[in-house]
This record gives sequence, structure tokens and C-alpha cells, in this order.
Amino acid sequence: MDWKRKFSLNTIRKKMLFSFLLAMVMMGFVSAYMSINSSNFLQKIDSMFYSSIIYQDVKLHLEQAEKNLALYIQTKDSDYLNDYILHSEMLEQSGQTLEKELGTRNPFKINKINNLIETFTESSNRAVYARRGRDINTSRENYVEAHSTARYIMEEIEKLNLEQLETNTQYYLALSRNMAKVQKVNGIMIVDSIVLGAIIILYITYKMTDPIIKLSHSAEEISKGNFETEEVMVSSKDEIKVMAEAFNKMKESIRNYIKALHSKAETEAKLMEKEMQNLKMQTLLNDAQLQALQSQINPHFLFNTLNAGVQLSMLEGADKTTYFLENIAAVFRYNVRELDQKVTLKDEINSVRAYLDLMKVRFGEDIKVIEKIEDSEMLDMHMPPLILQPIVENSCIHGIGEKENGGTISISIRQTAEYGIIKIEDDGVGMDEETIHAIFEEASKQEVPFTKPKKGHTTGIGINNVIQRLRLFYKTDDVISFDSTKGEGTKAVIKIPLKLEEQSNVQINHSG
Amino acid sequence: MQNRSQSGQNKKFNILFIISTGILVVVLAVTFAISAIYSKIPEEDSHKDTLSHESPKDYKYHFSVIMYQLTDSFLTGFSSGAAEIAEKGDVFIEFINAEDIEEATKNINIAIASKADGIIAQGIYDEEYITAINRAIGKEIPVVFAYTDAQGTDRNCFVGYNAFELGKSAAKRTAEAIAEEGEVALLVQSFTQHQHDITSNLNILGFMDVMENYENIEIVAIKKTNQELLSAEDITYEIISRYPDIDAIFCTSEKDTIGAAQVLIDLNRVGDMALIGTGAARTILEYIGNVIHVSFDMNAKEMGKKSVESLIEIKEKTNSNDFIDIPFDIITDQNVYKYKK
Repeated sequence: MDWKRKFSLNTIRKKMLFSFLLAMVMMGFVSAYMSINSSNFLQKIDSMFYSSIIYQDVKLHLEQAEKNLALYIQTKDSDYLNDYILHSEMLEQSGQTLEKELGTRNPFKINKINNLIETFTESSNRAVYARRGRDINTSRENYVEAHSTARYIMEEIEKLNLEQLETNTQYYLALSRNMAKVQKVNGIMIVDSIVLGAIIILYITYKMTDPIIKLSHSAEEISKGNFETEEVMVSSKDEIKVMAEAFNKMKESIRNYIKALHSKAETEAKLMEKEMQNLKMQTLLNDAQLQALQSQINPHFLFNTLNAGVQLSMLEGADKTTYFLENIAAVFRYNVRELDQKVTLKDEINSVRAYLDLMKVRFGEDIKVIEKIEDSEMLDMHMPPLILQPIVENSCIHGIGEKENGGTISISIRQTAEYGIIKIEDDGVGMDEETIHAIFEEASKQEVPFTKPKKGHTTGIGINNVIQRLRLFYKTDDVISFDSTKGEGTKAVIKIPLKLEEQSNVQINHSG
Repeated sequence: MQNRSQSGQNKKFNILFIISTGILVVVLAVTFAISAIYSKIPEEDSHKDTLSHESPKDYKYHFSVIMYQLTDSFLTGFSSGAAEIAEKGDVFIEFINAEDIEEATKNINIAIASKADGIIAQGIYDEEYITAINRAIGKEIPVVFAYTDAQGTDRNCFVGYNAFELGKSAAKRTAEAIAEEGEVALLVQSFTQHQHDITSNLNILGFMDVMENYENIEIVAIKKTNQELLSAEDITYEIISRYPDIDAIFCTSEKDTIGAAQVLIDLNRVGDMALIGTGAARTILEYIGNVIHVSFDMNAKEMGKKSVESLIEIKEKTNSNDFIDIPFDIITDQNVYKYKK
């Protein structure tokens, strides 16, 4: 386990060391092989000439020995004798070398040469002894024998040399043929090893630097602020993997942190916006309140002024004016009350009477009013305020006001088992179905805009407001209906459910 | 997606790397092996070469065989026979086929100087040659003469055919070929013109001994051929031109037989002249039955065997024979197929 860890290539250093050493060892191996190869070749060439060198040695000493022998026999000079002895000894040594080095290669021939050398030394020694003993004839005879033996030796050596040359030539031819092949193959081997080394180094370098390049690209992207770069994938198991993992983690955590910051900022912005809205609303509310206050000034001021007018007309004794102003004041008083305060039908009828009196003053006797109250108990029935007056107002203005010779408005109140029915009829210009439909359509809308009433004619509340309030109050849509024929008049019928009326009574009391 | 394709690319890259590395490693290994093998081959060759030489200690004796101008067929037979016995008797034989008598003499001297254990040589009467032979015998190197004998030496033994008998046999064959009537010539091989050449003299004597019995046969010429190139051709031409009616020629050597046969073919005398030859060379065997009437085979192989055998016997002091007769055979068109094998 431990050694496995030690020797696995899990660090950049080990990888680099391994690949470069591998390439180096391979190259080294190839060049070492080449060197051994060529030195072997040289050795072989050497060995080809080795025997020739020994032969040369033998020949040299033989020549020298023979020459010195001849000179000694001629002159009897001891210098020559010494030289002769020296060379004949060396000749024998060369013969032994010959036997030792080449004895196995060509045993018979070498043996022959050695025998010849022996014969040569024997006869030359005999010649020397004879010369010393002044036996000139024997000396000469032996010298002649030595001389011819020397010639034989030379010839034998020549033969051997020739033979050697022949085998050498053949050997050399074979060798050079092979060496040519070896040379070619070695060339391939060198190129191969170079390419192999290059590929190994390239591969390892690429494998090591590729993740670093990826990391650096990713880091550059991040430095530009782009955290959405890809994860850096590293397949190796070295420090770069550790780096890449750490880098990826770092990137992830920075991204998460930034995300958290973003969402926090977003909520803060939202909060701010809400606050701003609230503030705006408040301002708007305040404005509305102010506007409301402003619009409230008018009726109260008018109301008080009217009262002053009533008192003035009473003082002057103008009864009609008094009556007229009192009516105006009554209508105003009734109109400025809060809309969510319920009233009795009687209050409503009174308000309508006052309004109609005003209208009579305005339109003259062109307006006739017929009241028909069948069940007087109904007058105590509660209902939302300002319901009848807008309807009557509508009849006056749109129904009769547009006719030249006036008209009649009749109001009838009666009670059935379930409903209290209030009917307001006029014989004015009437409306077509579409207009009625449009009115109901308008009333069905959730938000009823505060349409500004037409100046001069109305008291300020539209029909659709009436419809809506009625529907809300009685919680049923079937509470008011219009029936009209163009040119013949309009009939508005309000059906007040009696049970509900009681309930709502209780409710209103509660809330009130 | 991109990551996956990237990892796929990586995988491809890895595979490419593994494949190319594998190929390169294999190439490296193969080239290394080839290189190593080729660097070794010549060494093995030379090693084989040295092995083909015999090692020195195995030989009991070292004999020098010095022959003189023998034809290839005779020498091949002789040396194969000698080698056969030599191998059995742990003897190393050095064969020398000398071109001239000086070379032969020199080789005898070399054999003496190089302390050969024995010499097998031809008996040739040449003064220097005989001196050298005697010097060898003086140095206690036994000498066996083979094929031809010579006088004037103390040679230990002669191994060869009976020349007198061969002459006689040849005469009988000649007479038979020419129906005991006509002119006959003799071409006798001689290594020297000296009268001491026993073998050729015995040939002639044997031939003449028989021919005396045939009254109608006349020996018109007895010529000694020498070792020069085309010697036999020249002499055959001479004989035929001088004696155009000649009926038969007897040659005592292989070389002469081939030469004479060639002349008969050239002169268109095949058929009307009988040629009695010597030797069993391929050409002679071809001519038997047409150009050549009969040929005498000297049994070269047997001669080689007996020579070495007798020399070994001399070395071991068990030989007492002075002459070992190698019987000759007569090759006729009846038995020529045996030789052609």
C-alpha cells in the first residue's frame, strides 16, 4: 500500500521526473547500444588483422635471426650472436603466441610452422656451435638448412596470410553487408527513439499543462466577473487536481455568496419600494381628505347661508320665498348627511316632496305630482338614504324636463307579502332598452367612478350609484328595475324584501 | 455537453497516445532485435569456420602426401581412399599435388623440416628429389611410394599396380582389338626421361613380352610422354602422320589416353584405329566402346587406402612388405556402367 503510493505518479514532480528520465534512459540506451555496436564492429575488424600482426611478428624475428646468424657465421662477431639469440628467442615466443592465439583456428598449419621454427632454431644453433668449433663445413651445411627452413616458414606464413585474407574478405563482405543493414535499422531505431521520446514528453507536458491552462482561463473569466464559467475538470490525480477542486469550490462559494448578497439587496429594494408606495398612498389619502374637506365646505356654507336667507325672507314677510328657501335647506340638509346612515321611507318621501316643491318653483305647474301611499306602515321602513330623490330627479330632468308641456310624476307605495314596493312613474320622454341596459351595465361594474354630476341639474348622485347601493344594502340584484317606452315615460320599481329589511335593520342597529 | 465532448476528445487523445507509443515501442524492439541479430551473424559464421577445423590434439600422426601432376580423377580417388583410412587411424593428411619436380622436392624438404610423421610420394627418378627422399629416410621419416616407383632410394614401401602385368594385359587387349595383325604404337607416361623410371620401363617390357608372340604385329613406335601440356596430342599426331597405317595405340596414363582420343576424333580415325587407354576419368568412360577400346583402371582409391595403411603399419613397425600390389581393372563396354555410377 505504502510503496504503491510512493511509486504512483501522483505528483507533478514525479510525473516530470518519470517522463524525462524515461525519455533520457531510452535515448541513453539507444546511444549506448550504438556505441557498443560500433565498438564491436571495430573489434571484429581488429580480430581480422590480429593474426596478420602475429604472422608479421614471426616473419620479422625470423628475418632478423637469419640475418644475424649469417653475419655471425661470416664475422664471428658476438654482437651478431647476441642479436641472433635475442631474435631466435623472440621467434620462439612469437611461435608460442601463434599457437596460443590461433592454434584452435588452424591447428595443423600452426603446428607445422612451429615445427619449422623448431627445425630452424635447431639447425641454426648447430651452425653456431659448429662455427664456434671452427667446423666451417658443418656450420655452412646447417646454415643452408636453416636458410631453406626459413624460406619454408616464410612461404607457409604467406600461404596462411593468403588464406586469412580470403576468409577475411569473405568475412568482411558478410560483415559489411550486415553492417549496412544494421546501419539502416539503427537509423530507424534512432529516429524511432527520438519520436518516442518526443511523444512521451509532449504527452506528459500536454497532460500537465492542459488543466493549468483551463484553470488560468477560468481564473481570467472570474477576474472579469463571470462566475458562470464551466467547472474545471481534471482527470489527473496530482496537485493540479487539488488546485482545480479548490478552485471550483472557491468559485462555487463566491457565486453563492454573491447570490445571497443579490437576494438581500432585492428584498431591501422591495421593502423600500413598498415604503415609497405607502408614503405615496398616504399623500394621496391626505390629498383626498383635503379635497373632501374642501368639498364639504360648500354644502355647510350654503346650508347656513340658506338659513340666513330663510330668516331674511321671514322678516320681510315673503312667505313663498321662505317656503322655497326652507325647501332648499331641507333638500340640502338631507343631501349632506352621511350616506351610510340609514333612514326611514318617510324621511325619503319628505325629501322627495321638498325637492319636488323646488322643482315646481323651477318648472312651474308643468310638473304634477301624484302620491299614492297604500300602506302607511311602510313609511317606517328603514332604507339607505338618497334613493328616491335621484330617481325623481332623473324623472324631472330627463323625463319631463325635456318635454315642452310638462308631465306627471307619480309615486306609489304598497306592500305585498314579501316586498315593500315603491313605484316612481313619469310620462316623460322615456328611454330605450339600450339605455336601460347601459345603466345596469354601468352599475354592475365593481368600481363606480365618481362621475361629476352635470352642473345645475342634479344634486350629485347618479342612478348607477343608487342601484349599487341598493344591491349592496339588500344583497340582491333584483331590487330595482326600470321599465320604459320611448316617448311614453319611465317606471322605476324598487322591491324591498321585508325579511331582509328586518335583518338589515338589526345589522344597521348593531353597527350604528 | 461541452464537458462530455471534451472528455471524449481527451479519451481519443489518450488512445492515440497509447497506440502511437505502442507502435513506436514495438518498432524500437524489432529494430533492436534485427540490429542485434545482424551484428551477431558474422561472428557465428566465423565461429563455425573455426569449428570446421579439426582440433590439434586428436591426431596421432601427421602425414604429407606429395603427388606429382596427377589428374583430378586419380587424385580424387586416391585422396578419398587415403582420407578414409586417415580418419580411422587418427592421422592428419596434408595433400600436395606438385606442378613440377622442384615443387615436389621442396615439399619433401618442408615435410622433413616441419617434422612430418611420414611421407607418401611418387617414385620419380630425379636427383634432387631422390636426395630429399633419402634425407627424409635419414631423419627417420618413413617414405611410401605410391603409383610409381623409383630406384635409388631406401623407401620403405611401394604401393601400386604391377606395371609389367599391365603391359602384358594391354598387349593382349591390343592384339585382340586388331585381330592379331597390324602396326602398334606405345605412349608411355614418364615423369623423367631417366632410365631409372621403373614403372614405364616395366610397362614397355610387359607389352613387348606379349607382343613377341604375335608375328603379324609390329610395334612401330614407343614414345615417352612428358608432363608438358598437350604432350600426348603432339606425339599422337606425329605417330599417325609418320605411320598412317597404324592400327592401335596403347597409352599408359589417363592424360595421354584423353589426349590421344582427342586426336583420333580430330583426324577422323575413330573406328579404324584401336585405342587402349589407362584411367577412369569421366571423359574416358564416355569414350569406352567407341573411341577407346578398353581402359585400365588403377584403383586409385584402393591405392590411397593401402598407402596410408602401410605407412601407419610402418610407424607401428608391423609392416614387412616391400611392395603392395594394387590389382588393376579393365574397363570395357560391358562393365563401364559400373564406373559411371
